[in-house]
Amino acid sequence: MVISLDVVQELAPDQASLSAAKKLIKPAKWPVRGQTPSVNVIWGQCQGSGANPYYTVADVVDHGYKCTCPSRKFPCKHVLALLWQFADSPAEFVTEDQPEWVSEWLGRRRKTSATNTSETLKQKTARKNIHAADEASAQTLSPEERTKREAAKAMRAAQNRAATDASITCGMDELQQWLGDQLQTGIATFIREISERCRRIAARMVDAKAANLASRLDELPAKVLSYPLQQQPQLVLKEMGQLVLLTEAWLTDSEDADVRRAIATAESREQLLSQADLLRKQGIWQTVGEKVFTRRDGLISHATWLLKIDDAEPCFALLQDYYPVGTGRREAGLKLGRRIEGEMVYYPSRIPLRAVIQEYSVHDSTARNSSRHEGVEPHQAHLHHLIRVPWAEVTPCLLGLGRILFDAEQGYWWQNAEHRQQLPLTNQQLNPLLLGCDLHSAFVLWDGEQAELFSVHAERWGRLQGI
Amino acid sequence: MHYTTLEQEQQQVERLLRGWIVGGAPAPAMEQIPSSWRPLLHELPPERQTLIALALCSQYQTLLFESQSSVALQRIPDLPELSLPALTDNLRPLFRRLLASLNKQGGFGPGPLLRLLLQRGVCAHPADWLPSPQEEGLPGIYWPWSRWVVRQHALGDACDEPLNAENWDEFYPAERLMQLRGMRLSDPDGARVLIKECADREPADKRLRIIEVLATNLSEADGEYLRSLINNRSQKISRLACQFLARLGIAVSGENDEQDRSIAQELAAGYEVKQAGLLRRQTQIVPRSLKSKKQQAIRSELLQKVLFQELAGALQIEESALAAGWRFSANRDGDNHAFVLNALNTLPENLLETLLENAFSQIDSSDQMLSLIQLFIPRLETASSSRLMYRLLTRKGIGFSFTDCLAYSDQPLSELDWGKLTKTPAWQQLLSLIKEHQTEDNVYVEHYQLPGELTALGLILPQMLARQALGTLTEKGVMQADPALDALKLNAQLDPQ
Repeated sequence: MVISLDVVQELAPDQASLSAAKKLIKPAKWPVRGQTPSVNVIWGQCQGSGANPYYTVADVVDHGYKCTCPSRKFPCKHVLALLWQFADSPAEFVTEDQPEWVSEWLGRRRKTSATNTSETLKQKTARKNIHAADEASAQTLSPEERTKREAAKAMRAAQNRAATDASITCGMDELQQWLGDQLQTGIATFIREISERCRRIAARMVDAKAANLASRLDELPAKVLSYPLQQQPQLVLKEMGQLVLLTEAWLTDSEDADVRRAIATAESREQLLSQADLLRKQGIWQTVGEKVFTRRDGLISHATWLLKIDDAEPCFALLQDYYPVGTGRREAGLKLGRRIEGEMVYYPSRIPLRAVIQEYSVHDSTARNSSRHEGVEPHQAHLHHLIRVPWAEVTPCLLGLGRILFDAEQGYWWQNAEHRQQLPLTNQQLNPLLLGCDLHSAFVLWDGEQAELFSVHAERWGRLQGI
Repeated sequence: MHYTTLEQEQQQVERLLRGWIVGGAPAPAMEQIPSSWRPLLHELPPERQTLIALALCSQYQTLLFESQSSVALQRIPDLPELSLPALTDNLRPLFRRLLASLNKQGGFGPGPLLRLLLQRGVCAHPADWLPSPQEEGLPGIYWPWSRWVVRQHALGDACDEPLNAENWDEFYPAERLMQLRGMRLSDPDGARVLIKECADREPADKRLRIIEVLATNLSEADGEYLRSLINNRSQKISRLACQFLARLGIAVSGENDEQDRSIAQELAAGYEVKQAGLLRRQTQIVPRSLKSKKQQAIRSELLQKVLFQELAGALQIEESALAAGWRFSANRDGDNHAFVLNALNTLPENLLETLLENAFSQIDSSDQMLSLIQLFIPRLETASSSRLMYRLLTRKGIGFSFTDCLAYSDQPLSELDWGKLTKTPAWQQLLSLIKEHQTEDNVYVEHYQLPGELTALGLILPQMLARQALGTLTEKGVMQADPALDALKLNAQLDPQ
C-alpha cells in the first residue's frame, strides 16, 4: 500500500492547501495514525484549530477521503497532510484493524470509483508544486521590516479592540434599556412575542459586536418554550436577571475573561495557547456527554463533555466547536465512553470548564475506571458556579448512586440512593434500559431547576447513553 | 435570618415578580423591596433600581430550589439478568451495524441474529437491543426482557406474578400469548387447564389465537378439551379443534357428520385412484378433468373445507396412501396449495413426512413446488427441518437461495461442510454474481441480491464455514470493508462460550 507525493500534489485543490498541509506534518499534531492494508485505508486524528480533534481518513488506492473539519476545500489540508505523511513514512502508521468510525465511513461509501477520482485529477489544472509548499512561509524579511509589520499589526489589533469595546458598551446600554422595557410591558406579553422580540434584540447585539450574547438571546425562546407553561415567566425573569448581571459586569470590567467570552467571542485556539499561565490538566479523560444541535443563527454547536477519571474529585472539560450547517454533521468524534490520555488546556476562567486538547493518545476504553467518583450535590455545585460566574446557564455534575423514576405525566426524575433528593430531568425520551437498573453515576447539566441527562454508568451494564 | 423576616422577604419578592409578569408597574418603592437589599439600591436612580432588583430576584429564585418532588414517582423493576453472558464489548459495534442493516433490509427482524448469538452461548447487550412490546417469535431466553418491556409500557399496572386464572385480565393479549407459549413448553397440562378455564372470557378472535397455542406440544392429553370445542359457537374454533384432533389421529364425530361425509364424497368424485408403476405398484390420486371453471372453483373450495382424513375415507384409501399418492404435477397450483395447507393443519408428523417426500419427488414439476415445500417447514421438527434445508440447498435448478434458507431455518446448517457448501447452486450463483458485477474500477461489488445473500450466509453457517467463506469471498473480490460481510465477520469472530 503506497502513495506517491505526485498524487498528493495532484489531489490538492491549490498551492495554498499544500502549504497549509505541510505545516501539519508534525507528529505532535497527529496523536493517532493508523493503516489497514486489507481495505487500503489510512486514518488519523489531527489536532486542528477546533476544540475537538478532526477525524481524517483516506483510501490510498482510489483516493477517496473524508475529514470532519469544516473546510470547504476538497480535499482539505488535513487529508493532504495525512496522505503526505503516509507517502513519506508509511512505517509510522500503526497497522491494525480500522476503528469503528472508519468502518462506518467505508460502509457508507459505495461506488466511489477511481474513474471519478482520475477525472477529478485531470480537471485540476491549477499549477501546484509540492516541493514549493513551504516557500510562501519561508519568505524572508529583514528584522526591521518584521518589527515594523508586527508593530503595525499590534496597533491595528488595539484599534479594533477599542472600537469593539466601545460598540459593545453601547450595546450593553441598549440591552439594559430593552430589559427595562420588557418589564414595563410585562413578561406575560413578552412570552407571547418571545421569538420576534428576542430575534430583534439579538440582531442589535450582533451589530454591537456582542456575538455570544446575541446567540444566547437567540436561543432564549427555545429554552423558555421547553419549560412547562406555568414555569415560563419565572424562567424568563431569572434569565433577564442574569443578563442584567452580565451587562453590569461588562460595564464594570470589560477585560474580565469570563465576561468577554460570554459577551463577545471566545479566543481562538492560537490566541489561547499563546497566553501564559494557562491551567493545564494531564490525565485520562472519558467522554461523558455530547450535544450537537443547530442554533438559530445557522451554526451547528458541537459540545463534548469530558470527565477526568484518574482524579478523586470530578473534573470536567468542555470541548466546544461551532461550524456552518453546510459542512454537515460530524459522524466521528470522541464518542461516549471513549477515553483519551492527554493534556487539557483551559480557557482562563474563575470556573475553568471550556478547554482544548493539547496532546493526547487514545486510551483503552474497555479498562475499568481507575477512580470511583462519589458524585456531587448539583444545586450546591451550581450555586458555587453562580457565585463566581453569576450568568452561568448550566453546571456539569456527576451525580452519585441513584435511579431514574417517572411521574404520572411521563416526566423523568433522577433520585439518589437514599431517596432524599429528586431532580427533574428535561429529557423527553430516555433509553428504557436506564429506568431498569441502579446507576452508579450519572452525568447531567444542571440549570438550577432541571437537569439534562447525557449518560450514566450502570453497575451491571456499563456506560449507557441517555437516549 | 429570622424565619418571619425570611417569609416576609419571600412575599416581597413574589409581589415584585408578579408586578413584572403583569407589567405596567412603576419602579418599586423602597419599602416594597426586601430590607436586606435596600443598602444596595437606595442610591441608584429608579430605572437602575428596577434592573438591580431584577438581578437580585433572579439569584433569590435560584436559592429557593426544593430537592424533593411534590408528585408521586414510580419505579420500574430491574431489567432481569439473562442466563447467558452478554456479547463482549469488542463485537458490539458489529452487532449494532448488523442489526441496523437487518432492520433496513426488512423481513427478518432481529430473530436470526439473536439466534446466532444464542448458538454461541451469548445474549445481546440490552443497550444495543431490547425487544419491542409487540415483538413475537423471539428465542425464549429473551422472554424475561419482553415481559419487562411490556410491563414498562403498562407503566406499573401490570402484574408481577406469572399468568394464572386470577390475574388473567391484568395482562396484555400479546403478553398473555407469550406466557402461554412458554408454559406450553414447560408445563403443557398446566397451560391447557388455564386456557380451558379462561379462554371463554375472550372474544372469538382472541380465543382462536389462545387455542392455537395448543399446537405447541400437542398431545393426546389435550384430546378431551379439544373434543369439547367441536361444537363451539365459533366455527373457526370448532374447525381448529377438529384439525388438532385429526393431527392426534382421533376421529371426530360432530353434529354435521352426514353433511361432511356427503361433501367429502362430492370432492372425491373428482379424483381417480390409479395404480401405477411396473415393478413397484403405487397408488396415485389423479384429478378427473372438469368441464367448467365453475366446477374448478367448487373443487378448490372443497379442498380447503374437507379434512384430509375425510377425503381419504371418501376415496376409500389409507391416509398414508393419499399422502404418498397425491399427484402434484397433475393438479392446479391453487389446488395443491389448498391440499397442502389442509394436510399441514390435520396430519400427524409421520404422515406429514410422507407427504413432504412425495412433494419433494415432484419438485421439478412446477415453479410453485418450492414455495409449497417451504410451507412444511414450520411444522417440522428441528432435525427434519435442517435435513430439508440441506436437501433444498443442494438441489440444482430450483433457485433455493441462502436468503430462503434463513427465512425458514433457525438452526445453523451443521450438515454442510466446505466441500458441500461450495457445490451448492446458491454458492455458485453468489460467486458468479460477484464475478459478473465486478470491474477493476469498482470499490464494491454492487448487485441488489448480494447484501441479502451475504448476510443470510453469515447468519446460517457454522463458525468454521463462516471463516472459510469470508476468506474465499474476499479473495474473489468482495472488499473486506463491505458492510455486506458484517454477518460473516461476526459469525467468524463469535467463539462459543
